[in-house]
Amino acid sequence: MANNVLAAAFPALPAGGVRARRVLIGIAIAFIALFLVLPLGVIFAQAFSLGAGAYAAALADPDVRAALLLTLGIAVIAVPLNTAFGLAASWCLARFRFRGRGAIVALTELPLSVSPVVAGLLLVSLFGRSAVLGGFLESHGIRVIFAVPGMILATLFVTFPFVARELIPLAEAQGSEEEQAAITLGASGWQTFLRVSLPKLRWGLLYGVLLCNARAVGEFGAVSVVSGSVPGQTNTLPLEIQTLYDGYRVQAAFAAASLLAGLAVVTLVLKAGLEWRHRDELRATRRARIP
Amino acid sequence: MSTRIEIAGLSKALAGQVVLDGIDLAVPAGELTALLGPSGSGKTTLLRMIAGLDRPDRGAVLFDGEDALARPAGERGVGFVFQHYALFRHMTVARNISFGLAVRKVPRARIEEKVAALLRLVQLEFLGGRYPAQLSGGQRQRVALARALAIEPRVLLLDEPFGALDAVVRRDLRRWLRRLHREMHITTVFVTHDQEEAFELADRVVVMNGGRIRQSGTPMQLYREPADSFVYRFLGEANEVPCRIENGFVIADAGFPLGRASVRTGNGTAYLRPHQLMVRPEETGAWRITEVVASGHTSRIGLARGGLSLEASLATGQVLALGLEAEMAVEVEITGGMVVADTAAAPAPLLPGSRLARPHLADRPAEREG
Amino acid sequence: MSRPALWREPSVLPGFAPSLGATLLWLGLLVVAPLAVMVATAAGLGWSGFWTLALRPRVLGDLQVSVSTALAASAIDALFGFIIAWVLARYRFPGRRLVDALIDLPFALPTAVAGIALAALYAPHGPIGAVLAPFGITIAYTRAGIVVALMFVGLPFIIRTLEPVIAELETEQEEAATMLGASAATSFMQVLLPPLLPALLTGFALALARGLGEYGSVIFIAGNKPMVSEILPLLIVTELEQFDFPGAVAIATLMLSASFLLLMAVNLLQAWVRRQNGE
Repeated sequence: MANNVLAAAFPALPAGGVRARRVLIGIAIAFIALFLVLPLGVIFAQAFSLGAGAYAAALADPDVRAALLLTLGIAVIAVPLNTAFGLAASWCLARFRFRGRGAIVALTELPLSVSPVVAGLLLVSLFGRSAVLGGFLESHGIRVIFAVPGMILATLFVTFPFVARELIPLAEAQGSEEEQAAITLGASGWQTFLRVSLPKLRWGLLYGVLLCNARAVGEFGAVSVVSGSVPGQTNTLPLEIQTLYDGYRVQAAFAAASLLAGLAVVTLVLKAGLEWRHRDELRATRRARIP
Repeated sequence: MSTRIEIAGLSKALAGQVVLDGIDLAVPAGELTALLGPSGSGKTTLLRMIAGLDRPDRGAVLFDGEDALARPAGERGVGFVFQHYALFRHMTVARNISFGLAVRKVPRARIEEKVAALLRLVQLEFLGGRYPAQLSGGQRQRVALARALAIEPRVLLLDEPFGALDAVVRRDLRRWLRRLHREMHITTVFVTHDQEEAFELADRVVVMNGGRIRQSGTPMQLYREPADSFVYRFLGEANEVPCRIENGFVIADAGFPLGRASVRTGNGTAYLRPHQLMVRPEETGAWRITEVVASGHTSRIGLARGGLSLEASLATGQVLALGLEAEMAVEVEITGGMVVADTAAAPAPLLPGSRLARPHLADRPAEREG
Repeated sequence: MSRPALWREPSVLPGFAPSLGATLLWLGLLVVAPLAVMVATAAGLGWSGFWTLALRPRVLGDLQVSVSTALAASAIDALFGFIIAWVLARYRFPGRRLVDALIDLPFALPTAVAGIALAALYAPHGPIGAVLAPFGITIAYTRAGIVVALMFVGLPFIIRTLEPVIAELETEQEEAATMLGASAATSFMQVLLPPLLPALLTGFALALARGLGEYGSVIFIAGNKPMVSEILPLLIVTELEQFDFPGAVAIATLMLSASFLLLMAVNLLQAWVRRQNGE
């Protein structure tokens, strides 16, 4: 059997090819169904387990609505800021060669390998009441930790690699010749950026924004550390889900979760569509990408 | 409209590596000049400096006597055609061509008129709405040219303009460009590593190597009076024969005369082009044919004599007419060549006449030596 | 000629200084400053003070839980991820694009959502839990639950690092091995596996790094019993809630060091891949 499965790997092998190939595809699909599709399905099943009325009622809850608004508000601030950062980073890191470039690229990827909880703690150590900066701000009436500003900072921290790491390899693969051509044709720096670089990068940019947004909306660990988790005030949707779930309001928790799951599905569809339609353009990113 | 380019003392080093070393060059107004050299010779860097894409460490670039280095690339009035065209992939052909005008805020009606005229000029009237990815290599090249010409440049610069094209397209485009230049008379400099291309297109060819200009002149001048062995070898295939010179007679180290030269004595190397060797069958001939390789309308003939191997090239028809084949004994007549001697500063032409030794003839050119 | 080596290669493109300035400002504000302050806080604990906090029994117990579950989950993911990446890269079958799109679900799905979904599935009365219960297998609220959650978040790392490498492998090499008389097992071990090994290890290291730091998807399905089914990140959160800031900083420093080590390992592995490809 093991040999049969292995044989499937080798199209040249005459024996067992088709059957073992089917076995491998079967294993893959079964695993994905069990570990990926089933959890997705259970969210919607649980959300509607008490009927559509209960579902609507759960979503109409003022705390859930407040959480949804806060989540969207944070994303609306964090995603554009990190998009701007990603564009700036890709401009200086992909279009120029200079000393220390590698270190900066590594720094832009750092949040991806830091635990979200540690990310939250990093912010607490800078902005917490006992920290120098945090104490100073607090004495001036600005509260960062256990308040919305801290949650925005936490979201910024965990999501800032997403646009930059799509754009840097893409811009590098595309090269700077078109920009140079624009300059020789008399375009200014801004004209070159807006008319040549930005359109050139647009699909990669959209891809990065999509992933950045998904993470901004769904971030849990980092935000939970710096939020006081006060329902109706400092609860984002993921935090509200936790509050509901821990309060044994399971169906309501899943109703709220279904919103985020729906967004995740939309993200996946758009992402797959982008990858499919612009796969040549995005190949550079995909090749260089470690998820 | 035509602009004269003068370059003086242009030098550049990158990371301790000398890229350009004191380049002096004048490109007359309206002329078509080729920068010819192997890769790494600095020719592309020189072109990019004229355009303003790279900056020199020292030296001057003047357009009609005015300092071009003081202006940024976009204000020099330079049309630059990149090696891989650098067309804006997200814009149509027409938008590509109009880009330089649009960023200058030229009125739309004027732009449209101009783009139409340029599309006609580059014979792409019906492709204005296409995207670069939908064009062939030759078409892209012409779009790049139209885009560069749209801003009515004073100087047109092309980096390896035919490098990315296949042989047939390359030949057609070369002729088309030559014609275009004759009509427009815009000062043009292009970079190439292909001597055939340089010779066919250019009024003047500048041979570069190691960041320096080795020689510049008309194709005929370069071919007839190469300044040194590098230029000679770069302009075509050459047999290299170690030799010595005695009383103006050039004698191969292998022990037989090659011809005469304007150098009296010394050691050196004789350079012989394959087509400068005439081969005819002769039973008592001192040469032996080692191989005959027909490649199209010319054939290569391998020749050997006294441990020396040479390569001759003859029309295939002639090879057949003479019945040349391997192992045949033949006589070889050397009709020309070049001698570089350790006693002379410049290379001397190799003159035929080894068999008709006439000492007084050999003496005469030697008088010019001092 | 002794000129100072260039700090940056010259370029005709403008905007270097402002874009670099903005990038450094952003990185400084969000990464460097908080990192520096936390490292300073950890250093302020003193050598023995730090290790006293870092080596408490509960920390060591939770560390053991975190490391063992992350290793187990990454290993299982490596096995199944290999098969799935292989299937995606080599075979064309109906629904392939759907499967391909689904692989990224763990990236797109918020961790808290994944957490409650997995908890509901594997709870004793859940759809999967109920099936396993008669066999005496409990997954939710045990270490096995943590492994399941970490498998969920780690799977894409393995597949997405392996898939492009498999796609670029030439089938000719395998065919050549077969023609030379190698058995399937031999060609797998000696021809196929060696070029894929660096990518497989890279994926493994990435999944492991993610698993060690994961929080949201784990806490709902884990029993969160100290030293048995409590993960290290949860301990940080607990200590913060009890205002034991030094204790939290000590654990976080430990975890940061682990992520840096794993990041270094990944970079070395990537250098290995590049060398193998002759770049």
